[in-house]
Amino acid sequence: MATRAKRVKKSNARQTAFTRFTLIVAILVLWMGGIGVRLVHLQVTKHEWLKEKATGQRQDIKRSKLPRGTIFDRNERALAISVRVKTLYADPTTIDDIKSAAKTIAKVLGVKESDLSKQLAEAKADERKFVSLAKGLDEETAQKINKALEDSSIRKADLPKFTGLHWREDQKRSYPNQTLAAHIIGFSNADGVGQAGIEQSQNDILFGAVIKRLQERDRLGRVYDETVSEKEPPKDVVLTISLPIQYMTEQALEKAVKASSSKSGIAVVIDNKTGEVLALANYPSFDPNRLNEITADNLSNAAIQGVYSPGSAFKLVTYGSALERKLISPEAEIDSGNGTIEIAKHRFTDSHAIGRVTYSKALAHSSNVCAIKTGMRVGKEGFYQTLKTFGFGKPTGIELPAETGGIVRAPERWNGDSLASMSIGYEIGVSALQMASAFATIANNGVRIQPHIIKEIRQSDEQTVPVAQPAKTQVVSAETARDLRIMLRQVVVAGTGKRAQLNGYSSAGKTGTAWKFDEKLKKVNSAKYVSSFIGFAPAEDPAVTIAVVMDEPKVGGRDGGQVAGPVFRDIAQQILPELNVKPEGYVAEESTLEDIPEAVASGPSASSLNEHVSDPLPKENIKAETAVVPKSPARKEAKPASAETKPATAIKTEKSKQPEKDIKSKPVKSEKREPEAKPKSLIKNKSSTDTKKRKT
Amino acid sequence: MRKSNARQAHPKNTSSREIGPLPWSYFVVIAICGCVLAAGFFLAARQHFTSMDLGMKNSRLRKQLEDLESENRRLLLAREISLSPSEITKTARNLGFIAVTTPTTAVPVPFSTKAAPAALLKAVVESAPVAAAKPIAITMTAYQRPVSGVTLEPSQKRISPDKQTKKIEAVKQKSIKPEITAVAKLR
Repeated sequence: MATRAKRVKKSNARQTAFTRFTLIVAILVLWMGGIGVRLVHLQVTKHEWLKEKATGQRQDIKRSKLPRGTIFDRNERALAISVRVKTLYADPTTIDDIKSAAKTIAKVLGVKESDLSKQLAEAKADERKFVSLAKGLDEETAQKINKALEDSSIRKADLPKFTGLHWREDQKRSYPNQTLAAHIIGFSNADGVGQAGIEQSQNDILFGAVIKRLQERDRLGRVYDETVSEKEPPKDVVLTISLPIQYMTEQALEKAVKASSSKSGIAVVIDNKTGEVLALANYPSFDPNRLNEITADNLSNAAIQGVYSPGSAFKLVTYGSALERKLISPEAEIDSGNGTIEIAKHRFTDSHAIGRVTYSKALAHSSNVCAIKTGMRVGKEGFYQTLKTFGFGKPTGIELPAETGGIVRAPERWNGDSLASMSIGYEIGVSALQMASAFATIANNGVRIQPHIIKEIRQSDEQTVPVAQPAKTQVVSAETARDLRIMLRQVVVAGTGKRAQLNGYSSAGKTGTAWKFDEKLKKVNSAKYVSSFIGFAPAEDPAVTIAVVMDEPKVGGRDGGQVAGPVFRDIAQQILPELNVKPEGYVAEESTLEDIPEAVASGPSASSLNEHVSDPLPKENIKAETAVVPKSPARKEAKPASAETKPATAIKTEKSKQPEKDIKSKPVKSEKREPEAKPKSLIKNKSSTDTKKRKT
Repeated sequence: MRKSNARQAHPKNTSSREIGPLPWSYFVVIAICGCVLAAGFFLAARQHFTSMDLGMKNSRLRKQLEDLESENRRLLLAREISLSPSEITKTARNLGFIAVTTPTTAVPVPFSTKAAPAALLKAVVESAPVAAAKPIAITMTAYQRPVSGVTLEPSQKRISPDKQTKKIEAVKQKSIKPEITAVAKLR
């Protein structure tokens, strides 16, 4: 019995153990099952939420902009450079006590506490997470602020150690030379997009892309891994301009504009042999660091965007065309008669009769009659062909925005006196750069090298991106070019350009003086001139070509030789040593400077006056002009009236009534009329192709 | 038979389970495996922390590089600003240098200008506030008809370079004496 009892007892113990074991296993299974269910729930249904939360805890995405590319001059002097700046901003949603925070921040930043408190409170109410507190701060100032705002009780990964305050990295574009070369460099807006000049034309190259940084942080907020999205860094642009030459040019131009009380002035300096633009100056200018001071008057780059009647300086093309066709030679003679010639019932006169002279002397004295006779010998087609080969009527292709092509009409649209007018630089619109390029062609033995302003484009790794080589065209033969150089030399030595004589160097060039069309008076105004001098130096082996154009000089002499000639001299005398050109030993004999008067214009027929309006672009169009390269301008060029002997008003009353009537009776479409709205500062014309009927 | 067998089998089984000692090699293998596992974990952890540490150093260096580049740009800008003409002028002025006034340029009265000098001056005052702000000396000369038969021979003579300086100085000293000279100071 005892044994049986023992057995039963033993059997019960086993049963109990088994039951307990089963129970424990069941509990474990249930526990694990519960965990499994929870895991499935978390992994499957709450997968996205958990992932987002985990990523948010350790990952940080930061977007920053690469600094915009730098613009250098040819001597590696920075003209435009972007620097990193910081913006302090607040996230009011994370600030508990707005008032005390505002008090501390206001004290550090030196702002009014009540305003800041109000601003933060409003932002918190609106749940805005960004309130800018201080912009454009440099690293030094940022560190000072960090130190001042430091709160040791705050555990925060980033600076400043103050609840709700953060730094954002920005960049600021700086132009260290202020107004110097402002029209070339241009400027970019707050978003880092170029708005004018090289900044605009090379925006794609200079633009700093936005990069995304994926930062992995540990529990203390320290970055332990970083992934940066690959973006091509912006490139740097090296220009052909030389800062010292640009400065000298601008100084000489500014001085001359102020001295002559001119409305504005242009100066262009080109290296003949390479076509590189060494300087391009406009006055008045602007400071790209002060965008609020930029106006339509000082923004326009008139050297490439403005069109003017070149006047006598254009005789270079007339004589060049005749020389190329072997119709004339410098020493051959031409009779200017009594200094008057009538073409298509329009009388052209010289300022003074010079009688029978050589072509060389005719050019030196800027005889209109001789130039017209020469032009007539060349003929319409020949003259037009020469114009085109010199590059007139189309943009030069310089890497600057909104370059004009000038105004050159096809021969079939010419009047009876058009060829005569064009022979002396009227009924045609050119830019200062086009004229400089034409003279540079002669200086370069008849080979026209496309003017360009970009020397090279550089990548961040110091490698250069190849830039397209400038186009070279043989415009006239080397012999013609040499003859023209001899003739142009005479202009300076014994003609209208005596004031362009240099000390130490020989020079050659041509003066130009043209009356401007007055938009208000609707006729040419004999009180408004465009005076120019375009030349090169040294005369025998030219190193540079310089074009100087002065708009509406009011004080003193107004001839190109009197106003622009001295500016040419000032510029050339300063820059030639800079270019290491050896002095030739010439001395300008100032005591013999007797100005030879230049025939301002034996103007074209009055019927075409209204078709060649020398009015500038409207101020309100400047923005569009700089943004988009204009198509063939739909305006007319100024046509100056006759010389002193015949007042402009007389011609106007005689022949220009009908066109005026036409303007009133047939208004041009709004797009074409728009430019007429408000004249801009300079000699900008827009030629109209929709013209009135002409009387020939 | 079955009983005796059962009796014999049971104690044998019991004794083999309870008494049979585990071979020491078994413990050694377990210990080695444990060590390897622990070492693996240790190495993995070490590598993890080293990688994090390197990542942090890398991040710091990258930031440092950016800061240096930024500083380089800032210094370049500072250099350019200090070398800019306006800054040089300002510095020169602060150092006591005075701008040398250039001699008055003779600006001849244009041949075509019939307006009286007074009218001209009035036009200047009205149109050029900048010029009117400070005194400007204007020399106006009468126009002279050119002498007939102007020679085509260059009037500029070539001189030897060593004589050039003397010649230039001599020419500079010569002053143009126009027939009529009027000097007006605008205020």
